[in-house]
Amino acid sequence: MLNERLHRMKTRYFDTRPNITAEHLELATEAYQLYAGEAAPIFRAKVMSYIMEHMTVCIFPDELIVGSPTNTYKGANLFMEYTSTGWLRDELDEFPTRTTDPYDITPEDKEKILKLFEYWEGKAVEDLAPSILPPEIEDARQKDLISVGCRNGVSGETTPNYSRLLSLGLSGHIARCRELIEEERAKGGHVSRQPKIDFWTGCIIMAEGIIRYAERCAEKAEEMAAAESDASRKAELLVIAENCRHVPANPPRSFHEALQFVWLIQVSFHIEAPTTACGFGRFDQYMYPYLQLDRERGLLTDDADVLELLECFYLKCCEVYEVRDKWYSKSFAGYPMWEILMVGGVDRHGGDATNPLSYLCLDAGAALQTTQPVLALRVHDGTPPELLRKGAEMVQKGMANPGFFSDKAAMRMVQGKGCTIEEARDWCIVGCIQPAPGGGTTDGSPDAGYVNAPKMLELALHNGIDPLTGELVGLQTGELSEFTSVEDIMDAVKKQSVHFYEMIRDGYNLIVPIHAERLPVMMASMAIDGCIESGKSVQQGGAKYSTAGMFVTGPANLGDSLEAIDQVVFKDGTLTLEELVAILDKNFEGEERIRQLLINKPAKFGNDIPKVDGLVRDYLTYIAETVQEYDDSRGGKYSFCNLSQTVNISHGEMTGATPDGRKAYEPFSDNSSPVMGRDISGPTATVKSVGAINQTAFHDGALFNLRFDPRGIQGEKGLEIVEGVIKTYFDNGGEHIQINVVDNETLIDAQKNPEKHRGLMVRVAGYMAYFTELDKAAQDTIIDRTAHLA
Amino acid sequence: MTQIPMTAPVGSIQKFSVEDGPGIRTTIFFKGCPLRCAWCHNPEMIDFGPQLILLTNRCIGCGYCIEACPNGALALVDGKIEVDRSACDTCLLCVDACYAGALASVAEEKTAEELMNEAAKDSGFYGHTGGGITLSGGEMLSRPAFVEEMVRLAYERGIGVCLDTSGHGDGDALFRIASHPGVTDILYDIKCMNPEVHAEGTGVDNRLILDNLRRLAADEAIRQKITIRMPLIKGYNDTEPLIEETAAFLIQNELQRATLLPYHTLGVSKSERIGERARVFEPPSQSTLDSIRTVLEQAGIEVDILGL
Repeated sequence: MLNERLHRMKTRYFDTRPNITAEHLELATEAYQLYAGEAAPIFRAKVMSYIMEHMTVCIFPDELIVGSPTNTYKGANLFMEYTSTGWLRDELDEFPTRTTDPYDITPEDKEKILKLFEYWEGKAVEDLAPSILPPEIEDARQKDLISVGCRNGVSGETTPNYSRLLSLGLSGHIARCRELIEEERAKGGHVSRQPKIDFWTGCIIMAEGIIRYAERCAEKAEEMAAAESDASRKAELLVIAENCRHVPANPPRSFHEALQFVWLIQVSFHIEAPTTACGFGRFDQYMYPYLQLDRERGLLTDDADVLELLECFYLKCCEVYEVRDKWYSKSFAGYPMWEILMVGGVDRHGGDATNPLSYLCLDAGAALQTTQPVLALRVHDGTPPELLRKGAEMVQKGMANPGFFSDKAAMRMVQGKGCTIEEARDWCIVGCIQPAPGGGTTDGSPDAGYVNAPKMLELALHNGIDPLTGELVGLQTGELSEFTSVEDIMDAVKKQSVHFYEMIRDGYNLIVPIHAERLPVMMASMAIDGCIESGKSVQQGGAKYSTAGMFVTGPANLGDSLEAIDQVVFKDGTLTLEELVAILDKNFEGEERIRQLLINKPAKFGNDIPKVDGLVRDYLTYIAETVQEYDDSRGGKYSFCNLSQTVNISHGEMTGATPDGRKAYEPFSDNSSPVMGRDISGPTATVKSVGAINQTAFHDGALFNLRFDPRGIQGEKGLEIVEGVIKTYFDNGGEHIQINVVDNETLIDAQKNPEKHRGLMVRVAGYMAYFTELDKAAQDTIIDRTAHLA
Repeated sequence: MTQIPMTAPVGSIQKFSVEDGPGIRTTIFFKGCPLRCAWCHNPEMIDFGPQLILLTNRCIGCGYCIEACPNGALALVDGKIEVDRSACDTCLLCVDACYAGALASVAEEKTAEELMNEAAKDSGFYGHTGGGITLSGGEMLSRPAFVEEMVRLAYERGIGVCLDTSGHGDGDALFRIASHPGVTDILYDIKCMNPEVHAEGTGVDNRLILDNLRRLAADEAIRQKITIRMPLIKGYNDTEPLIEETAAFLIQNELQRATLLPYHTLGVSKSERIGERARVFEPPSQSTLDSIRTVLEQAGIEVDILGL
């Protein structure tokens, strides 16, 4: 399906290992010393501008869309203003060989990096965090009871308003910032006005820096064209040069230029910060007018030419990385970048928004089969059957792409964030599956934090003491003898949970102002509506809507455990609560029979059994309604999301045995899914249970991975089945579903012979990963998930 | 006086059943079958009485079942439980003692209402895919009154029913059930056209089965619902003359759809679980399958193959 160019490019992509390079850090270090003393927004913009003026410009063979955030192919930058030299120095040697998400690094670059670390010692946000966070929060964090977002990373989940960026060009944004500065100055001097003037000045410098970088790409392309002997490549290089001279300074004049524009914005995000989850929003909507423009002039009339450009763009999306530490790389395994590209859905007036580009975006994904961008297909009652069919066909072929999203559920979620009906219809994903009021109006900051739900039960069953350490870390919610019903235990679990969610809130509310003062993100602030008009960065609350995500791990383990306690202790009286807890404390040692009872007798979440599904729903709804009342430090609100990514593995590793029969340290359930292997009633029951957890009450949605055995969905009938499952899930209130179709034999073979399966994709958690790039534990987790046999 | 609701022993309620009728279905397997097909892939569903099933790989060797057994029918051998079937009177007391689920009852008694409540949970899936409930077994026709009740309840809820039957049973009841508007599909087995060979393989001759089928096929509305299913066992019923005879029968009765079910060995281990030994057969070769398909297609019959 791929043409020769793309075939070569894809081969090159798979043949190159991600690598950490020194250049960006070298330039940043120089710039930091040059511009010290400037106000933060100006300082940061000047640093970026300096980097973009001096970094190596790369144009790789065959490319039609150019620009890279680093000086090597598949390179990764280090951002020592965010990341502590401490762990990085310790882990630097391990990067090429670590099991999860390895990076190569040349000896020369390593030497340079180590030398540069001397300058950065103690300067990172991560170094400041322990002194910013109160001791009890830092303690809970270090014990892995909670995570606190933005502690060593950036407030980086951004879906720009690309309609605005494209229609004004960066020069239009520069002009607007100049106007605003003039207006503000005309009001006379005041301490409240200078920060805004500094912010707009920073925006101008940043925008000019990006334009300059584009010009340098043009210069490089011209230089290469002059030396190019192949006439057709020479012509391509000259087109690239012409495009980069025009965009992103000016509104694009063609589809090709529009793609180049969007890509250069994406590059600048990755030059500025160690960002992830910079989404493309409703790509088919804002890009289609440029395709129409071309087609009216008789250009790009052949779909193959459009696909070639799209595929070149998609491959660029695979080139960006965020270097994560061991914990984060295990918790977010598979180099995920969450660059979500959405198609379909309703328009701002409620009609169907599908256009010819919607189909081509899916076709390009089907042809290329790479992990980025992650395709998202919005589904509503009026979705053309052909579009849904195309998505179903991709799923049937095992691509695990696109993910399907329900307009109905997502709209209710974003309305909970307080937006207009038009903005609700124009919702887009900010992050992974989190819906946000439309069109780039929302800064949905990344994870404020995760609470380990089964650990909350463990604390409740030990009156606040962590049995693994003997330390009192939670609330003293009562001795076992005080619990007379499962409701009592649920109440204690909720109290423990809220205690830790409050810690996350308090910690995150302390961390974000540090970013606002020191590291305002200029590109994101220009890209999101509200910041330029208010003269404030996203971290200062400049976005029209600000939300911060609160997450949970293991809700299914919690529900199953509570049900098991109810059945075995309170109903059957097989064990007393004290006996059960004693058995858990010895990790079922010599008690396999009881473990089997706990596994086999009590009902389990995921089998369409109302009572146990209700326990999960009750907990999640309570947590959502509680945390969504919290104010964030920017004047925004917290949003709840039933999503674990792969934090369910790391949280599992620090939690003892649970009453659902799970042994100590084993992983928890994946995202919104049932516990692995405990959904034994087939995929329809699983879908019903996950649909029954009151998702629309979670403002940031719920991530659901469903896996089919390929046998269950083969042939024409299989496509109808896939569509039927998606529609029924959405009828039942589901927001998001992604469907893997992989058989275990393939996966086991892929573990043994990774080279034979390097294109094998598995969506682990809202992102897609190459199965063979995951470490053994994560691979085993995927293999263990119940395969739903027909 | 309240009437005690009728129950039937149900081996399993299989959701997301996609190969037993159109769309996504819930298949209900009733225990008990008048046939004794040597190749049966649900051997635990044949006997009408209660049966103990042993899943050795689930056994953790705790031995609690041994104490629970009043007949001394259980013993640990190399850390795994074994059942002395000659001593076992199927009291099933051991099942409650087995927390690991290694010892289980093959079926549970259910009322039609209970089954319908469970099956109706997937109504949304049926609606989107043209699916519904499939009644299978064992032989569902061995419980005509219960099946009629199921069909009535399903019809009330707007859920279509597919019958999966050997056809060996009460022909009047079958006709009555088949003509009910709630029955949308009928999967009807033809195992072999030759009565003697049929008797040899299944324990009953095929006259009743074919008579019942002729009667159904004579009714235009019912005929439209019928898909013939042909289990194919190498050397037993896959020979050309037998297939040609089947084709002729189908043409004669204007039956237009057939599904070929080549033999598979998934039933073999199930026999072991109920203390029996299954004969192992072979499926027809691919070339035989292809020629069977050709013979039927040339007779104007739409053919589908559902292999392993």
